[in-house]
Amino acid sequence: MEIISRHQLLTISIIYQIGTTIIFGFASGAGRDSWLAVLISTCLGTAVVWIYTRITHFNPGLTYIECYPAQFGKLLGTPIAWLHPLLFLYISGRIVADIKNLVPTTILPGTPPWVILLFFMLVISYGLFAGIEVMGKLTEIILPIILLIYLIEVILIFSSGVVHFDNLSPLLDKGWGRIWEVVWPLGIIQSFGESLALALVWTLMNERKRVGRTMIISSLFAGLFIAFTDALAVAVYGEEIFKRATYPMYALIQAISVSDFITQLDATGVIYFCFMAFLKTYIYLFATIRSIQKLTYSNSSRVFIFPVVLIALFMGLTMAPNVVEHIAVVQKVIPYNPIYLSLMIVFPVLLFLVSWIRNKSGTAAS
Amino acid sequence: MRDYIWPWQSNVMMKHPWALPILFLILAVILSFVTWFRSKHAPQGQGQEQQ
Repeated sequence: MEIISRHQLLTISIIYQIGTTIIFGFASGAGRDSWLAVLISTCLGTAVVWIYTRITHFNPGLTYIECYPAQFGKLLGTPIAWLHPLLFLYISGRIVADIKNLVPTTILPGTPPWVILLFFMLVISYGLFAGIEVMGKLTEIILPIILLIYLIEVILIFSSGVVHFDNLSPLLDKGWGRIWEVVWPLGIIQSFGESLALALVWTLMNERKRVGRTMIISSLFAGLFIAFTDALAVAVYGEEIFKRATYPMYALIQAISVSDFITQLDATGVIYFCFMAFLKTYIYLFATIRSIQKLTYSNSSRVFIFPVVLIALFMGLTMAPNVVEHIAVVQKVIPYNPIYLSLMIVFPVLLFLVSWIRNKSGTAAS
Repeated sequence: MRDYIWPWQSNVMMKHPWALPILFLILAVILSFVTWFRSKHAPQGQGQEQQ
């Protein structure tokens, strides 16, 4: 069985939770108060992640999706468990569509999207065959590099003289309404609720008792990272441009211009976006395949790799005709999608309560 | 009716937001039969993680 270390889980989780928000931004609907909305989402989202970790703690020896049949019974628990790989597959298709929209319009304008995606998915397939341990080692190397590039970019943005902190005030001038609109439910679902896929990785960690602490650290780190980046984007562009931009974080990199000499650093942003998207798609597909393996009682998961990857590729290619429609779905449909809300919030809370009560009564009986 | 064949597409999700959840529910119930069938033939404890 594959085993990953605590440090590897931490690096995987940080990259996964920051994910594609590094380009698409987070909570832009809250305007200049977006960083505050991110901080509130982080607090609530970390609580949701803690619930996920407690569920696996109360059900030792079982992966997250196996907890549903174990606690709710086979009749109710099995369909709920099957909803997870279906949702993971859909979300991986969405990330593939993100790549399809961003890469051809930025760094590879003449290349057909299907060619880019084909190679992207081939590398992911190779990673899935290599296993999660290899991916853990890769993230240990990549995370410091990404953070270093990010730090250099922040220094260059400040050096370009485009940061105007006046853009961040007045705080809460339009009240708490627009903050709550982005916090609930999208702010909690995005990045934090989506950590559900990581629950399929937790059982592979060598120090399982420290999963909860590791996930809380990664959630807080990712939240603070996104809040800082949001605040920086508002300080550079002001509220109106930040709210309207399709790729606010990508636009932030385009603002770099030091003495008209260091400019046009867009490619670095696309590169780290691609790695974030790569890892996120990888984890979703890994979780999909692992869930299917568990639910079909198969000995090997490798047989599911190519079919699952092909479905994700097909969904990504056919998801949306343009980026505007693609993002509109995230903002208007997904936050109120009953599958997202029930699998990420309602069912986990119920499962947590049932597991906790049974665990408590079992301890009392023994 | 043609819309319901591709419920993950953005235009279908905007027009019929319930199409995808319904498809997921139907698939989840159908796939559950695979689990119930295979669980009867699987050896005891197969699929459980080692502690």
